[in-house]
Amino acid sequence: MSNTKTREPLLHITRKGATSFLFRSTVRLIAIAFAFLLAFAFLAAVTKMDFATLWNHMVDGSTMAKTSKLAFWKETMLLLLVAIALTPAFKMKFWNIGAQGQILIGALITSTLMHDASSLADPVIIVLSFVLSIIVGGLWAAIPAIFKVRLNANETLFTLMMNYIAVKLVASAIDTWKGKASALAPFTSGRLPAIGTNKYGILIFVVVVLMVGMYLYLKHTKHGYEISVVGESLRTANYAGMNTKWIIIRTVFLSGALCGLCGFFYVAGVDYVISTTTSGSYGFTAIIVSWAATFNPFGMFILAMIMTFMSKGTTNIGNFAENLNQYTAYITVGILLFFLIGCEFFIQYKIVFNQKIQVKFDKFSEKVHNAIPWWFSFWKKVADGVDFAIGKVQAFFSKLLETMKTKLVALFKKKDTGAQISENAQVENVPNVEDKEGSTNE
Amino acid sequence: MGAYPQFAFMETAIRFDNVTKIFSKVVANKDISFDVKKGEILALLGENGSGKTTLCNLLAGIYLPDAGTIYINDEVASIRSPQDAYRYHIGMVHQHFKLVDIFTAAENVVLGLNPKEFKFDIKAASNKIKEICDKYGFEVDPNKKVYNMSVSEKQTLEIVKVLYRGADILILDEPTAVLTPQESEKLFNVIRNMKADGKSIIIITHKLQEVLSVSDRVAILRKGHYIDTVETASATTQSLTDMMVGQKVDLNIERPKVEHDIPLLEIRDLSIKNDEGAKAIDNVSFYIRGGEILGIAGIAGCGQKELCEAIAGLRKIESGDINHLGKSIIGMKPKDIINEGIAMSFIPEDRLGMGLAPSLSITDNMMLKTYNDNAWYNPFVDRKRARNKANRLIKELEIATPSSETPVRRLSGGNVQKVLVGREISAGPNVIVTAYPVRGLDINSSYLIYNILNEQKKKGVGILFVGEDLDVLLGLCDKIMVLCHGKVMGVVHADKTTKEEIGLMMTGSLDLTEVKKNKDFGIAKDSFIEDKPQDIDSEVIIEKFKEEGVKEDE
Amino acid sequence: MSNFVSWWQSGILFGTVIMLGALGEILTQKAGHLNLGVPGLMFIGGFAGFASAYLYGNTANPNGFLLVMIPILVSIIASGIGGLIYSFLTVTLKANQNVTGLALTYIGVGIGSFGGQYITNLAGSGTYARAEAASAIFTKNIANAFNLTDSFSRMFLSYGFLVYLTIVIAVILHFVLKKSRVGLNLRAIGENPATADAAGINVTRYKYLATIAGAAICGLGGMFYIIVYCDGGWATTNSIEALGWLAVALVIFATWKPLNAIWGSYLFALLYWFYAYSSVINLKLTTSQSDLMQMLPYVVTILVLIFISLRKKKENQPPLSLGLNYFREDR
Repeated sequence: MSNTKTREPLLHITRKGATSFLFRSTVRLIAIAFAFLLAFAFLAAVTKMDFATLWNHMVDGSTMAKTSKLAFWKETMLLLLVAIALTPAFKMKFWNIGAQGQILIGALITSTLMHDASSLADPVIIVLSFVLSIIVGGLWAAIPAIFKVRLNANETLFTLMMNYIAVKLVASAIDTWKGKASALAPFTSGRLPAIGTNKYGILIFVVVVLMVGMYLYLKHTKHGYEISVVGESLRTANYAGMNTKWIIIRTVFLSGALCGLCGFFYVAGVDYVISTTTSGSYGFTAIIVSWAATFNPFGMFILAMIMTFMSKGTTNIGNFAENLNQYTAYITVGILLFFLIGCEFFIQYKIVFNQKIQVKFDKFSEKVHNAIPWWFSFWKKVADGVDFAIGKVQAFFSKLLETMKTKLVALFKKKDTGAQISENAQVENVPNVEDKEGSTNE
Repeated sequence: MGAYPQFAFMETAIRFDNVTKIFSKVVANKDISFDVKKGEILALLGENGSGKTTLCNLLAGIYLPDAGTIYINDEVASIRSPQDAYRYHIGMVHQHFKLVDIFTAAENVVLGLNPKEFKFDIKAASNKIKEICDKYGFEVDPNKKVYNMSVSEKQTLEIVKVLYRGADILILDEPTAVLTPQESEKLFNVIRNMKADGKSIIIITHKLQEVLSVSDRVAILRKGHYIDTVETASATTQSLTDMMVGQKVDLNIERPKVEHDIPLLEIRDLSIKNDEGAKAIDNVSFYIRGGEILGIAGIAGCGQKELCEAIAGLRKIESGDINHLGKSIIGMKPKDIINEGIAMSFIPEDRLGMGLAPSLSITDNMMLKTYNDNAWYNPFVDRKRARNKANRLIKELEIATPSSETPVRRLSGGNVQKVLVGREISAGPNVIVTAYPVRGLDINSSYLIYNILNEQKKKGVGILFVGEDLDVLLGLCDKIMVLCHGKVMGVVHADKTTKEEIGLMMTGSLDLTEVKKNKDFGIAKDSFIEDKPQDIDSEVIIEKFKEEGVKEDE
Repeated sequence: MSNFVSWWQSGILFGTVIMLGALGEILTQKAGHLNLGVPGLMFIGGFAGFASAYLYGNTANPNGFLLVMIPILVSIIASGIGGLIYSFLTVTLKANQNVTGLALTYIGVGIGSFGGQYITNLAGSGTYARAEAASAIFTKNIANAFNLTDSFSRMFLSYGFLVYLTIVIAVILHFVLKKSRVGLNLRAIGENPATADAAGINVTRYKYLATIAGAAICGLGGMFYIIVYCDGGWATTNSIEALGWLAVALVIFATWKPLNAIWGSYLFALLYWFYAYSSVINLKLTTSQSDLMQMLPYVVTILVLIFISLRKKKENQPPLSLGLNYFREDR
């Protein structure tokens, strides 16, 4: 045996430290670029079109006519809504993969009202189904949550099974309603009105409000804080005196409620009819959107747009190619999903090459650096610009938040003058206890 | 090397030659060179983080050295995997047991062996296990499932596993950390038997007493560097400590004398069940006075965790009472107990599992217990105040961190503990329950924690200190309560007892409560609890340990 | 009586599909990987088996042996590649298992449907195509060969060889997991990968192999569904996906034991098909009521899930490190 045999593997993997926002977004953007390349390679192979033609058709899919623009925003917003809905539960490490069922239940209750309560005035139906779809969706999701906190029953599989129960409930309702007809006729009463000429105005407005609201909720509120702690460690949360069981049920209820709301929009604002495939595959894609955006609603917005762009674009390419069919978008979007999942590795882990390769690599990167210095200075500028922009956005939000806080506090202070908030009772007998919070702010 | 005449005739089993291991910028081992003889017990001594375990992991094939050579039996060895290690007859017993809970002992032993063979012969394995046990004096039931085993049984199984694989060189990583002194002595006997059989044994430890009692030679590491190898016969506790720490260290833990105050926390006839439904704490009574540190000694898993959790309101109790200044806290929510002024810092084995949220920043961890203290109608958390508090603690306790927004996970062990203990103390509690606060810390950080606790004691806070190292318990605490299988074996004054006595009580061989059967133990004379038994003529403390300094009349 | 026999027959056939899916998933989960991509894998396997059977069966002179082997091999290889992608992402790139599995289901459904549509377009109808030749061979059975028409023969001897082979696979899987070294190592990895690693077991290789083999078995299930259960017919409206989720549910129902999966799958299938044969117990169902009846297997799974959470018996729990990726440096 000789010493040379003791060789280290070519590379090994270690966890990375903190990474900058810029780095994370760059990695994801590169991954998305690769996904598009691969998807185009696939499309080109099947359709025999060149990349430029494909790209033009793809862009047209989302922008060509007014209808396709509108459809693009509709789909983006619906996907975003489900992703936002799932986020609080995921952040708490509660794997709710029952979005499909919760959407269907929301849709079912809306359909029931639109179908059976058509004698009521439209606004009444809308308000009723809006409220009920939220409540019922939340309760539907709360069932597995209750079993989770009581018996620690696996929520992934529980919510999954609940999907099919919801599917069968919807199927049963449809069969009852349609009677002898071959298909269920669209409902006529209780449809959401358009804003101006935009049929989806209300949907878009609500989702944008929810996006900002969810950001604030998770980042700055007590509930959001509780969710992060419970997601980190249940034991720590208990230890801190949090009512973890209630927090879990409450958060999953919220998640289900927003899914229910999505069902409401599907029926009352988009399709005007219900089917067992109403939620499409959004229940699953939204999980990946939420996760890949690391639970940031604004990130989800961007990802939802990219995904819808890919999906609509692929469908549009299909209009010009015989070999494609309505399922092609599954493949291209699936490629995108895989790349988004895979790229997280490069954000969280670092590949360390052994000494020899590292030396070569360093030399190579030095060469590259010397060859195109302008690129690095350009990149530096971009980085500075992005940092500046992020700073601005953050400043805006903290300002917004401060205003909201003061307004809220002022609002309640008026009502609450009489009530005394009990101070933490200190027992008199105890000698020499260090001062409480008062002394901490020096 | 080779300057040790009485070992000169012995052959070399292992030789390290300038071995270096670097973990992305952290140097774990730097140019280590020394040797281990055949048939000797070598203690590898060093503080936490001095590179002992890393060095042994190089032998066990878990890591590869970045530079240098390891010789086994005077031949260059290339150990690239645990299998390679077994090929060189090296076996390592890790500090955290590597056992599969739902497997039987025999299944664990044969795991990973003879990969070419399709079926495994569990009977033959069982027989061989029995042979090994008979040879060295172990007791292992091959058909017992690991989840039914006690800690010491698991450790025995680990050693049998290594011997089964034909190891001639055994590495034991902190083998006594979870054992009682008696169990440790039993282990040492087995180790001596193995030595007599010609095997080389490396014991990784930082307990000096054990080093002196069992080893032939001691190799000392400090901060990844090799310091020296000395013969045990010529070493003393002080000389080893000096080499280990690098400077003269005062080994005495300070125990300030404080006027004992009224009983703050009284526990009466408490019984608690563990997660499996068995009794974890069985009819326990004791109390803590202001200005005293009550230590709790016991083998790992004899009810310490359940007791701490019950006091913090995290676990339901079966029967009995927990009384804080005359007010029962049974059934109170954890939040209300915190508001009563009872703080708990529990450092579990993984350090971050309880008390801290690892991925959240120091700031966010600061408001763990106070985030909900502002007005109910304000839905937002007050991060500004938490940030101030974080910055204040960082300054006061010298927490090494880039900023207050750094996730706690990225801090080193000592700093994590400082964050946790610091937060608990800043809430101004009157009772602190702290379990294993110096787990995994180096000596200097440990002393910092002791000082923090002593400061609180001087302020009149009552402290319950659950510890592992008996030397620390004896040095720091005023009184020590010993638990065995959830029962109190007695409460003794730290300065009037010995390690041996505590050890006997830990195993249940000595039960002081039996010696003085007719007395009510653990009930303070000036108890706040109304239904005091009539006959309180004795204190919790056995008469022979009774000390006048305890202020009984209030 | 004859009604009961047909119920039984469709139960066995349907059960075989989900049993194959569940066996694959048990193997995968024993290695500590929760693969939610089962429906996708079954879709891929089903499509690959169908496409190869259709294309080869329509050549000039198909050979009977090849007509059996080609669909089997092609479906195993295709779904095995799906498993390879999943293991690359979760084992090597340490991606979240739930998310990766769902993505696999998504793209698997996409690939299967896309390809299936392509074939049905080739066949001309656009919605339906049939691999008759292969289907005929796969459904050859004893009862037909000897013209046995008694109830016993129809209930137990009227199936193609894959039905019996599936039971054999389950038994083999049981013995491999329980009695062999490979199985012992695999179970150790699913319980505690760090321990297995320290014992010198190549954790990465085992995880890859178990996941890929598991995926291949799932794919075989998909092929069986198309070629045997659907008589070789591919329709755009098929429901492999629902069967895939049933298979995942069955893993829990069987408490990760292959032998339990045998009777469990038939029970599931009988429950699932109860709505169509409810007249066996003189029950008349309307369409909407029979929709509700189809919930049964899912409801039963939830009940089992609750039941095993209640019992807390160590041997019936999921593998301890299920869903957690192993990273050596983290220990």
